[in-house]
Amino acid sequence: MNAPSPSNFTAIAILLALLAIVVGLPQDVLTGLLETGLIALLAAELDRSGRHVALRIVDVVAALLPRAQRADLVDEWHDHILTAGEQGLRPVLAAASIARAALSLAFRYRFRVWAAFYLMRAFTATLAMCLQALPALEKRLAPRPAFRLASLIAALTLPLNVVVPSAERWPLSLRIACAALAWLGIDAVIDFAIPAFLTSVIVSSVVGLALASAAPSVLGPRWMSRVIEWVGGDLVRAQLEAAGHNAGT
Amino acid sequence: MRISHQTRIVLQAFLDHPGEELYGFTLAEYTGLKAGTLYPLLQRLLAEGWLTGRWEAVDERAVGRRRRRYYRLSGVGEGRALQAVQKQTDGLRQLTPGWIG
Repeated sequence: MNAPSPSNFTAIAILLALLAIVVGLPQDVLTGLLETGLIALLAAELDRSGRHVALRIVDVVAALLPRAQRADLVDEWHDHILTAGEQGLRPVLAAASIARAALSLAFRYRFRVWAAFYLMRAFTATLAMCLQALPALEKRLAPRPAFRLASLIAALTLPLNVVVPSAERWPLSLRIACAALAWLGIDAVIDFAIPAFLTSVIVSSVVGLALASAAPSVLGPRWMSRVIEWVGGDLVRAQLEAAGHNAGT
Repeated sequence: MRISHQTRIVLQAFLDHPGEELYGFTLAEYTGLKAGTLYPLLQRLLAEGWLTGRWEAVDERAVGRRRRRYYRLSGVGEGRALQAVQKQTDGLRQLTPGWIG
């Protein structure tokens, strides 16, 4: 059976609201009627376009995957949702499950490779640093403190030389500053940037999808303006009256 | 490769349909696994060489649906799958002597 069209629900809700105003029902009853109408509208829209929303969710989460695998997996997941032939909330739940798969695959394809690359670099740099530090330790009791200090600085800035070979020719102060900045940067990325980025991607995808898919297609521009009028009409009117009053005085 | 319970279920589905090529949705139906569990598993089995996959060569507009990726057990995968399932059966046999033939 085809889902009732959202415009029918809207018309019924508006008629009921008008009837309630004419009959003089209390505000609570009127609000209840309108809320029921809006919820019914959203449910009808979800029932009608659940599959479409599910496909969009898959498209969005697929962006997390590397380009080489993305197209094939999107085709496969689209086929899964379309072959199921379900309506309403079910395809959206399937898409949510696929979103979890996409996150897991993105972690496997992207983050593991990235982490392995940088761990390898860090390991090489640390090993080189340790090898360099050994003579410095041996000369711990050397009579010249300046020599020991130079060895220590060389050990600290060696990872930079490994990562950027031309850094050996840089001034010592610049190398120390770069090494310090690199460590601070790595700390910041691990502690803040990666979790913040992942959180913002997830939150903005969910909120954006919900808003973009629900409001305009459910209500249309004409009804959106009526809802705005209904929700904030008194406030807007009061502002306009106040502005007129101020202009008059 | 670590063989989880879900992996065994997927392998069992392939063993139950010998020589047959299965695609994602039918596998989800046979196994009862959710898409979020099934597809990463299939990717892992493909990467490890247990499965082979091929894309269906169809005109999507003509058939009115997306192309499908069909999976089947590879030669190596079939042997390993039988071993994995057999290991589980042996374990069950030890737990419940006389129940499983």
